[in-house]
Amino acid sequence: MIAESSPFPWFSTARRSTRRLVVVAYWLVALGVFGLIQWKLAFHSNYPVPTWMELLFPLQVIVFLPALLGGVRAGGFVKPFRGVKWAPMQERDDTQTLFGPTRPVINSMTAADIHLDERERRQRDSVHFAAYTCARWFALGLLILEFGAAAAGPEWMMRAGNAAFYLLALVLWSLPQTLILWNEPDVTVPDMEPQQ
Amino acid sequence: MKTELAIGNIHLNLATRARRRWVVAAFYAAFAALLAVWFLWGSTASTPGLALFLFFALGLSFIGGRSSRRGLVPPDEVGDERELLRRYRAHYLVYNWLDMLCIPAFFAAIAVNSPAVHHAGPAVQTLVGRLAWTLLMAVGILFYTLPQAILLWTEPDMELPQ
Repeated sequence: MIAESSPFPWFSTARRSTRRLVVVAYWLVALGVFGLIQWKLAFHSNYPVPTWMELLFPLQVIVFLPALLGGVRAGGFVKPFRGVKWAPMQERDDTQTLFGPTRPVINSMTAADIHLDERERRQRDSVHFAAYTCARWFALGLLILEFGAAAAGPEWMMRAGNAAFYLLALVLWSLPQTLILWNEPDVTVPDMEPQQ
Repeated sequence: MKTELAIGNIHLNLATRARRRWVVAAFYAAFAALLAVWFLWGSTASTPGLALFLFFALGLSFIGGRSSRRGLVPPDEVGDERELLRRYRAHYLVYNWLDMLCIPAFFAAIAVNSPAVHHAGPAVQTLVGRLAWTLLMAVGILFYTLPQAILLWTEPDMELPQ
């Protein structure tokens, strides 16, 4: 499930310890941005009516940050869950990579990253099952939080609602990739070592 | 997966996929009707809220899945390799659509405090607020029931136990 072509060519994710560092860094950044948004909305905004820019920034974060991990999009650390279905990209021949061996390269990805084999599809499904179970409990917790905020007043309900949607979207779009990157054992493909 | 549903003395054969699909359709039609009543009555009113919660608990018990021993779908830890893979597959399919299901509720929640709704008056604001809560409840119901519904919907015809 780990993509052979890393989004950062000088950075290998073959080792599990490296991938775990990536996951920790990712969630620190994601939660840091979340804190920043909440701080901005709390002290520098005409809340409870957010402006379009205040909505646009978290939406951009939700859309683009999980893409770094891959899975939901091609080009991340994890292979795309649904493969790449755009036919013209799949019809290219082998390509010589810069200072590296000849490989079938499609856009910035190797051919092995385009589709999942049977074992990987099973793994993808089982990881989504685990992520679904976690997300269900998480969503229930957020809903209880929202009910509590609703009891505190409409402004608190709005604040908690925005925070809940942001966190839920982030978890839904990142949790399967996080589990894969965290649990997948070390990969021993020589091509995945950083090229000197 | 259970092949028979007993409602009092009436026994329904659920071995065929067509019948199971009717059950799933009736299940979601009942939820849709209850959500409509909740919306019209007022989402903050306690009586329809309690009715919705009770029906939700009964519905979960009826459809089964997760860790529930009761219900049409067996619990997650029960089943052979094929059933396990089908369960994983159903959860993967639903997972892909969960974020999309949240979007209408998200925009309704934003709209509650938008200037346009503020200017439209308290009646419109109340209606949009109800809509946001109703959509949120709908997402919650789908979140807890959709994988089991997919399993019931897609499982091929089964043989009746001898």
